[in-house]
Amino acid sequence: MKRRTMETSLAGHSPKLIRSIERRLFLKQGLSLGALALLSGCELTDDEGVQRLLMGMSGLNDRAQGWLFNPNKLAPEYPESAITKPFPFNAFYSVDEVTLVDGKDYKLELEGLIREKKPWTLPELYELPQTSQITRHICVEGWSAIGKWSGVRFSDFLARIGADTSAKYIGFTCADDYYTSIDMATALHPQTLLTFRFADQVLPPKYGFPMKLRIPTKLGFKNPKHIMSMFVTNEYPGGYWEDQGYNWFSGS
Amino acid sequence: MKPLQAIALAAILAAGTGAWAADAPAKPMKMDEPMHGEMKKQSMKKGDVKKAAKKKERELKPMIEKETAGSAKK
Amino acid sequence: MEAAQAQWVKVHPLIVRVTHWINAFGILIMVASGWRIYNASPLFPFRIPNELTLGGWLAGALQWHFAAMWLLVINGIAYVTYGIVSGHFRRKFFPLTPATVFHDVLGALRGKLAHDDLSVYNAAQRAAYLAIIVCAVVLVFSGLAIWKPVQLQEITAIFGGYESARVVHFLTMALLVLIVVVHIAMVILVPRTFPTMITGRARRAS
Repeated sequence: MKRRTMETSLAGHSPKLIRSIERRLFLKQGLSLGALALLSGCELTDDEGVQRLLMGMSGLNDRAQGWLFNPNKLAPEYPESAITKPFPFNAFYSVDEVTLVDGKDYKLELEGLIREKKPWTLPELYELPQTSQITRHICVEGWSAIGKWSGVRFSDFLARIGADTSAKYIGFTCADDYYTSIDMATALHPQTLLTFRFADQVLPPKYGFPMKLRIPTKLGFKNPKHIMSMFVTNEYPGGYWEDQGYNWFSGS
Repeated sequence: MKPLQAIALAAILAAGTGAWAADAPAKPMKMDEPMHGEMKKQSMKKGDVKKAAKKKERELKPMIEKETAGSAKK
Repeated sequence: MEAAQAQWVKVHPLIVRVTHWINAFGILIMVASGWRIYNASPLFPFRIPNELTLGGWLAGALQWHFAAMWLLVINGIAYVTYGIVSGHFRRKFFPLTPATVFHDVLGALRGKLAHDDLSVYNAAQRAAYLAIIVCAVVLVFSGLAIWKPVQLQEITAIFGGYESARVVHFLTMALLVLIVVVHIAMVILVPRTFPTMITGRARRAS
């Protein structure tokens, strides 16, 4: 509309002048549009309608990933020589604030859709058949590192405690107050391990003593450390980061 | 501190957490400090996780108790 | 006025214009949110100023990135299918030889490249637009390699593993942004191409 009136009012002027004015106008409009987009970038994400749309898309991505998840597809395993040293520490607190769990008094609490809910001590857990893996830990931040974890195959443990594996979710609460949850298909994946050792040593506090659930088919924040209790449920338990906006499934 | 006292203290520590977990002195988490790492929003504090965990526990408790009781009967 | 009406020619079909603008919007979101994601763990010794990024924080940026992903994939399938089936690609982008590209790029740099008939792309344009399509394909596959290094590990392996797929994804983004910047600069130099991408019509060169 603007352009048309401008063209008529400039009728009779040289085409070169018109073009140069057009160009300037276009530049100005383009720049202000860009500035507007940048300014509103942050507020745009905070807008309630936009936030709902984005959360809805994240839910769609959960379903898409659940559909894409192949229970028989194994994460690549690496030789000892590929292990990342030193393995990075990452948490919402600093390394000198790591939660120290007393192994002597420790008992893993079980709740929800589980038949045998007797708590497990560490010596009891250490006696279960153990297996090792050298896999790539991928952080949602983008970095990755290769480490060696050892422990009991989680599906074996679930069978032993009589967990209802037709349930949808398994939730975890941790000694550092962190909490998360995973889908049952991932829990039953052959490489999902309840680990007690890192690099052939007892899991040090900074990597999650007394135990870390190692899931090489999921991003790092879905691998809970310092697990104190777990529960099998059909009610969606979410998780700390997940409830803040990180994608729940977060599969690799 | 006298040598005997020191030995006694060391023994108590070793019998406690030391033998299992403590390879570094633990500092209590400073709850009102900003969070560490790159996953956080600028406004997030370390103590937010504890608060959220308590709220989540309250929310999930009825269902988990129901499911716990239900699976015990089988 | 009667004479002017007779001078209009159709340049861009509707589907090309619609997919072009959806694509422009989608790529703006992908790049701006991708820069924020990059900042969480920079591959190179620099960060992107947060003011230029979208999402406010890592989770917000990831939400935007993985929402716009669907928009771009659906839009891209529509555009590429149309381009191949209708013969649009064949007519508009070919023939294309290195010699003509070299000649026209040189001409453009000297400001002596004619673009009078908007319905025909010169060789520099053909190369640039084809390069954008190739970049988009590489971005989709390197993106899948980063997103699904276990489920789609065969794709990740093509890029030499997870870490190198990240590098490929970033560098291809940089190349795409460079081409888009040149593209926008060219539109500023020849502003009458801009309304043509909206209305689809252009005045015949007199």
